Amino acid sequence: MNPKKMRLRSLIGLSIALASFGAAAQTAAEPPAGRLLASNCFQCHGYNGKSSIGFERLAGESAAEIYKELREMRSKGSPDMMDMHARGYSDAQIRLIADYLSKANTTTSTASATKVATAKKSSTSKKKD
Amino acid sequence: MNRRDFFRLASLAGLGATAASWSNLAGAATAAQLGTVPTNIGISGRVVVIGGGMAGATVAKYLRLWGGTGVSVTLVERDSAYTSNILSNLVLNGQRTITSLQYAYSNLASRYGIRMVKGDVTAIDPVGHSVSLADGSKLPYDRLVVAPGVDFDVFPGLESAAAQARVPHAWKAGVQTTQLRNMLVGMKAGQNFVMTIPAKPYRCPPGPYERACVVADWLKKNRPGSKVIVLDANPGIIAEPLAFANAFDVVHKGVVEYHPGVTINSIDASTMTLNTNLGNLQASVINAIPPHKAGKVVRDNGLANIAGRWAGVDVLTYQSTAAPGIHVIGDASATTQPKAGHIANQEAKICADAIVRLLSGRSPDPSPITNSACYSPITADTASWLTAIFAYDPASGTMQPVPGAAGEAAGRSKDNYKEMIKWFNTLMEDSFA
Repeated sequence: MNPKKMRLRSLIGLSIALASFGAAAQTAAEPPAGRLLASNCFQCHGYNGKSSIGFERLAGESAAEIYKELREMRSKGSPDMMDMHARGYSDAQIRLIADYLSKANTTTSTASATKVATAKKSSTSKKKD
Repeated sequence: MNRRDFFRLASLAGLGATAASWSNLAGAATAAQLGTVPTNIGISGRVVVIGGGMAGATVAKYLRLWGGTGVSVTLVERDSAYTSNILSNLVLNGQRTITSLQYAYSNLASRYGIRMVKGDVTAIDPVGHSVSLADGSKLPYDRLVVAPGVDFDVFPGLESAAAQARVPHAWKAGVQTTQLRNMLVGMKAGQNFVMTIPAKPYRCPPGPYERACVVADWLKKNRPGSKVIVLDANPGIIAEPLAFANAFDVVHKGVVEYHPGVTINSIDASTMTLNTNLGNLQASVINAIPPHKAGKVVRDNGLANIAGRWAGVDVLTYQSTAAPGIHVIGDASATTQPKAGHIANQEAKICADAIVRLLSGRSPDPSPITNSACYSPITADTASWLTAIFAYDPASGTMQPVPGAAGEAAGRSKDNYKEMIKWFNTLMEDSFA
């Protein structure tokens, strides 16, 4: 990872830490970074990526996984709708979206959690990060 | 098999089992999946929303999800349920019923604590910050969101209710959609179905072309020799030109007759004749879609400051450029984005986020992004798709398409048709569940 990306990542971490501090203190906190951007996903993937009826469930994926998938989609030839969609966001925006979705929710239903776990097993071996 | 394929197969396998119960959001998702309203997070204010369509329902829901219980939200709507325009062309070929496209407002009230008020707005007082209803009551607000959708001009000759019943537009899903279905079924083999498309901007750019395809597909199977004659006020197909040109020239060859650049002068409902710049045309069924304008509440309250028809807005907040404190979202606003349900849902989220920030003394997000996505049936089991991403351009103060991130499907397919049903169900869940 280059220094620029590292800096961005720590900034994101900082704003999230500040956001949760604000909420705990019962004052109006800065909305979480990436929330509005990530809400572009909700029409098809459900609120905070937690869909049970639609396209791929995003909740439960790590930020690195979501980031990698979106990056891969951007360079696919003969794009499907999601591949085309991924081309609309900059690298920094994709990172914000991935970061928000990975933190927005950690609870999954048993059935979906099993699916995610099984699916992850088959794909993690291929991942470098 | 990669993970994405695994998920695709998994959800397709589940689709058959759940489709029936999902036609109208019949409670599949749990509260944890849908999200809950946080208790007072230090933001307070009163927001009134006028109109419970895709934009109005979504903004009400997200104001509560993102603003917490301190933000009170009242949604004023005259109907007891929303009838989806999306997929309503499938009522024409008998694949859906109008009731299968209806969404109650009960979830918005019970899950998110939105106060539902059934009624008609008679006036907005932008200085005193209140909305008057037909029953004499007043709703005070700190921020008002107006989302009435579109209204229609009346073609010369169709001024009477009787004439409009003979020549429905069926461009607001409901009674007219079913009427048009019945007219189609009443056609005899060899008779013609004429439809007109208004100049843009109108609601759902691919919609009329999609309707021509769905009707042609049905006629081909059920009324051999019948044709769909499309009279388009635009100089050419304005959405998904590849998919629809292919549909008209190849898939429905000989059944669809497409004429661009046609002006409708008048329509005579008693003789079922259209007077156009190309001459007179008589038909068995006429489906005339008139030019659009913002809903009445926008035009009656000084908000239609763009050509007297549409509401000018600042797309960082969707605040009216005519009246501070009033936001206009969805089809009634004049932006560079298409008028359609999917993008109205995203405009609503930007508006909700901006209002929550404004109520807590912050500035709106300076670089919002919206996405437009839709699927269009080409036949009873194939569909195409269209998508675009819009990003805020500070130089022009408008939402501009992101280069390289807009396009249409390479071709129609059965997979696209299946994805269309999934997309529809998730979009309606995000707006009404």
